[in-house]
Amino acid sequence: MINIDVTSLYDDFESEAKEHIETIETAFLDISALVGEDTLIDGVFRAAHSLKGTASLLSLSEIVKVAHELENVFSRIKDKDLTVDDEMADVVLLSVDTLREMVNNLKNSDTIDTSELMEQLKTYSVVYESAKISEVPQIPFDLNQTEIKKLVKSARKRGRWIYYLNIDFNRSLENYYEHPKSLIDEILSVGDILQGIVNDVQLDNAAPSWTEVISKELEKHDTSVLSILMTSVLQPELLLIALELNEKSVYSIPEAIEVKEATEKKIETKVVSAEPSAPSSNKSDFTIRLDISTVNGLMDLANEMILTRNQLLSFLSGQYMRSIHGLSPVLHDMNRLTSEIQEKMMLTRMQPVQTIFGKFPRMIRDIAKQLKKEIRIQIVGGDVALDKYLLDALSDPITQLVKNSADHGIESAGSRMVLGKQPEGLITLCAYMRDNMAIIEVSDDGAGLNEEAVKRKVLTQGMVTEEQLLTMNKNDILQFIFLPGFSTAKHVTNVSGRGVGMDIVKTNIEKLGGSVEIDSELTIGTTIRLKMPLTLSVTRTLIITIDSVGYAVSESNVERIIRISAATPSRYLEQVANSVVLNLDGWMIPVITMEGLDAKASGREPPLAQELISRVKGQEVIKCLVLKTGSRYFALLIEDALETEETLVKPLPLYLRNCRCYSGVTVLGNGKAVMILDAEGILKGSGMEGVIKEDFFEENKLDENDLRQIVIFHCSGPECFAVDADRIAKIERIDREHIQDIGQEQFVNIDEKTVKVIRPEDYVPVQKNEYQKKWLYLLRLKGAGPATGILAGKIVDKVNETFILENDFVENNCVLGTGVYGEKILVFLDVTEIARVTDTGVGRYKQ
Amino acid sequence: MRGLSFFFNGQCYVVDVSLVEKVVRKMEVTPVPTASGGVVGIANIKGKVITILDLSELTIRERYAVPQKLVNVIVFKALANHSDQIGLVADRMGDLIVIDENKIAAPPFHEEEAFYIKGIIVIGEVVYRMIHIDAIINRFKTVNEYDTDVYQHADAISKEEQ
Repeated sequence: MINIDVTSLYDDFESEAKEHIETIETAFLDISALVGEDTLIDGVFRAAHSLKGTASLLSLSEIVKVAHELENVFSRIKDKDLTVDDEMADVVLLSVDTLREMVNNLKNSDTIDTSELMEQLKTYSVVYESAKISEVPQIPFDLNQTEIKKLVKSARKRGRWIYYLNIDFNRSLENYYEHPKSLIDEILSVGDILQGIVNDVQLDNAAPSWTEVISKELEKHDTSVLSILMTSVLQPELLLIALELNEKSVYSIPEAIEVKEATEKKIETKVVSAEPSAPSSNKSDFTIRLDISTVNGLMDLANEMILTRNQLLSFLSGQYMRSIHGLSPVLHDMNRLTSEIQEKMMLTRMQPVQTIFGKFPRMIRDIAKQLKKEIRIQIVGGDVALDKYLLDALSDPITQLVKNSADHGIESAGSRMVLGKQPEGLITLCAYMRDNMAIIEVSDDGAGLNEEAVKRKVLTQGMVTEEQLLTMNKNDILQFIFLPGFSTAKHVTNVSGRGVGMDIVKTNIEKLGGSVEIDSELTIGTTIRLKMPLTLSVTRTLIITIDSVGYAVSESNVERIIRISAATPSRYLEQVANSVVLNLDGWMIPVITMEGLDAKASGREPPLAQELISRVKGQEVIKCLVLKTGSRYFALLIEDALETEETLVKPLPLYLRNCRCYSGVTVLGNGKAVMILDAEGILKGSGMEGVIKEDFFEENKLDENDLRQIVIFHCSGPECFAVDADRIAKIERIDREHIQDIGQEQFVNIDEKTVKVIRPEDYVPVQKNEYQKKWLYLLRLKGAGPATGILAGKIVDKVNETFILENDFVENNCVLGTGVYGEKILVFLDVTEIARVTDTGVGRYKQ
Repeated sequence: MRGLSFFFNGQCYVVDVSLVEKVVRKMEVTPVPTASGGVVGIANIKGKVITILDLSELTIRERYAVPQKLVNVIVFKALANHSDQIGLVADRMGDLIVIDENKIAAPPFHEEEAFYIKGIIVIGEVVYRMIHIDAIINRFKTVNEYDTDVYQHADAISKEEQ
């Protein structure tokens, strides 16, 4: 333990300490929530305690002092001896700041003057202080003696505990008084004695054995004090039981002592019966801190593994697969595992926006105090996950915006009252995803930006002429506030107003490829919207193929997947001039093909519309993706839509920057690198306009479930059923013979869990036959209720399709409607209704 | 100096082996429609997406039809100033050869025409064309930068029109 690299110890302490400090800070920011919340108070107490513990290890005496005092204050709160009030919260937060300052500057932390703070803290902690001063015994052994040090170290390495036994032979040894030998034997049976002292006489282990030496020495006196330094694998509680000693005679020596020994010649022990000897924070059991490069390295490895897997698969496919029995399931499993590993790895870099939002409540509290305003902060969408890199870059701009809102946006309570507003101002931080963008909004319900003031300012600074100003709209004018050196604030305050902030915000956001928008109404408030591209962040994409080549397209751009076949007379392709349009229920949507885009890019003649139409007419089914960019819609001819996948968007390689129809690249779970289609770029590249219709699809939507991923299956009869894939947690293969009847119901055990089996035939007017096959399928339903699953004889397919449901043919509560899929008619089951009926038994269909 | 030789379109080429990160046989390449000629597609190597190029645009002056989906690719190390790595398609991998740097002859033709060839090495009966990978990368880079500018220009015009 002694040869530990000190720098890394300091680093570890720094990050750990920051966590503890944050815990305390968060708790005291909202004292109304803290009062009476025992778990929270416990939490801060532990934080202070751990902080003190670790700091003392590193001899950071000033931090220890402050943490110790805080611990005392918290302990009094814990014991209901002290109630939390505003004033106290201020003192605690002040200590938090001081601690943070010290932690940030560990090497010189002792030079920071804490005397004033200590005075303030002592006013809260002093009672506790006098009540609980306990004496710790001095260890009579020199732990720094080379021999002992070596022994202790090697014992620690083997996971042993080090104990100091202090046994007074007159009082505590009833059992052994006559036979001190048996005590020593007991001790030797549970551990090793490192050193023994009887009445200040140090004993040597030279002569026959410890038992002999010690008992000999003990026999010399009537009363004597025996001190033993020993190691044992037993925990303190067990050692007490094993030796039948009372807890005042056994002390566990914490590891800390040995490290401390090296720097400070002071010995301290800890009573066994007190807390566990190693200071450990509760959190560390659940989270670990990792260097980002480790994560990146793991991610690269996961990706490489996928590549290797694919190569293996391609080598083995064909004859080998068949000739090696049992190879296929193993490969299948490996396939799944590697994909899962890669997906999980991609998510490790993601962190919730809350990590940067989290600091604002404190900041607002301080600013509000400083400016004498009443401000509340509201956080929405803190769980939106963004790449760590993006988060780091966003932290400063958002801080600036929040400061601006608090300082210039929110008015003083007095002027708010005059305007008929609540005296308390509200700042809202909101994060969400839209159109392939991560959007972060900082809004306030304050004064709003004064357009006229901005105008006057730009005129006086000579940025534009009056004529130019007349041609500008409001948004253009408001954008001026992002220019360097622009501030309409009358006074420069501590918080902001020097006109550098907004300029930096805009530059930083644009550096990241984002943009800034402002909405502002005088006296109503201001919203500043940061739109960030999702480069290096996870987004849900739909994986499609065009000419057997895979592509990803952001789900937010996909409006619908359209199937065109002879069975859908309301949608077909038509030629208008030399382009193809999709007639979708009377709406004409331009159709773009990848072939056409490619031809255009390389200067070839694009395929003729007529050719295209006749070609697709030859096929049975054509699929189109209706994509939207802004308010424009267009259709892209695709081969197939496969699945949706969470993908990590990477920037376009340098050599593909001129391909405008892509927004980035990504590696799919199967290890393939694919391009991510960019709807806007495709539309631009095609030279087409796209149809503009704001609420085009809202009007036309027959059913909100029109576009869905469904699982198609057969039960015992010939009917084809469909359920929403969203409602299914898992599809399990079960043995027919494992299904057991209990009363009217049927159940099956899966992984030691009982799952209720639902047969759709019992709910819907269809044929019900007995199954003859051995293997059946159970579609496990999602949901919090009792575990249930739908029994299916055969799983036909899982498809992404657009369905228009007819409700005229089957009248039954458990049926959503019927839809056409190829040749087949699908019966869409209403899983929610079926689950309800199963639970209540009401409405069950009688055969 | 050692060189890695390979065959492309019936001709023999060689690259400085110290620039090569690895050779992947039977690599699956995802085609990228609309990319400029010479870009075969993209592929995932160790989680990095690399651009796969071939010499077709430079040698036969037309788009080279990828003969099969799985191709042999020589992956180059990330060169200074280029964070994006590239791979070069080879029809067939050749041997590792030892090159006497004094015996590299200048290409016997106009420099403009063959900017991507550093020199010619003759060993026995085989003529090796030494690839100038930096020049190829720069060429692709400039092509793309140029095009990007054109697009930006076009954007600006279309905005004005609106």
